[in-house]
Amino acid sequence: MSEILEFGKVDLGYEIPEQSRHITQEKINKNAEGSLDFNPIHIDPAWAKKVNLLGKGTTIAHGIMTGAFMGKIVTDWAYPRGAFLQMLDVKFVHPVRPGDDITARGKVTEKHPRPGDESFVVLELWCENQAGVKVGVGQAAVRIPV
Amino acid sequence: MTAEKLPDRFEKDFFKHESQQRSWDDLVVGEVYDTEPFEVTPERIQLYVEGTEDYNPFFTDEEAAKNSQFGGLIAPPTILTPIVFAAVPPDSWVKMPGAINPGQRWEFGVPVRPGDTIYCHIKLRDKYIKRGKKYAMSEMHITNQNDEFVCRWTGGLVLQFQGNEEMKNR
Repeated sequence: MSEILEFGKVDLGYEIPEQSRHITQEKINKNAEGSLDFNPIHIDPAWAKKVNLLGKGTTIAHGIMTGAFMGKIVTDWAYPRGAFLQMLDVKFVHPVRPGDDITARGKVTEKHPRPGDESFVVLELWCENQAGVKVGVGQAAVRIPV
Repeated sequence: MTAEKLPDRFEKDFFKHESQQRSWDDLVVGEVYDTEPFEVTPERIQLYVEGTEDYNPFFTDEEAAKNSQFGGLIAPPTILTPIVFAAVPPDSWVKMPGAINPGQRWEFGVPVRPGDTIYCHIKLRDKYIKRGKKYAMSEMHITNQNDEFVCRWTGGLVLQFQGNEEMKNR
């Protein structure tokens, strides 16, 4: 367990550690197995090429694959430090395709003091691809009991 | 704990029931969906952890989880994705080939744990056309076997592929 988070010591503007990953068709297929989402737009390159749904004729990664990644940087920060993920709200604003490198980042933008152990912070989240284009944006709320 | 058993009606091939899917035009705001309870196995958690590359020890390491604020193993918060995909019928618009995910919001209650049985109550809360695209938006109230609140999940899909001639000729 890392050092326990204390609500009073979390500063506005604090940036949680960012994380990056490389996206491949194999990883998307594995995500389909894990998430039970076998939509052909994710796992069938030939069909994706034929229908050319988003203009480049490729499959796209599951939106929730990006969303789970954005959530992961929050839980990797909060869980080992005794805090809880209360809310995750993500919008997928640009497709993630095989071959992309994406980086997720987050910053504390709000502090909500509450009685007892109910205080929480809100983080702004965003995820960019290798070209610096945002692929996901959103927010997370983290309850910090101490 | 038993091995994972997906509902008999679960189908990996999203094309198989495509012809039975209702069009966006036929969806009625307020309608609710038939879902099946889903037992969360360690196997499913492991598959989801691998699929999302989220190797937090609280998901798979009993000793680490026991000493955490959760007091035992939990599943990743977005494990609700495979639960819902298992729970909804194969002809649901959620499984429409080419559906695009514009965004989702999860408000969490108690965590999902291995061995839990999860229940989803799904309602179509809105449908609309925006910038030429057809959106279907749902709200899911998710509980566990103890009737504890697990999650309120709001979000939806863009069903922009509805009526596309190419779909008929694939």
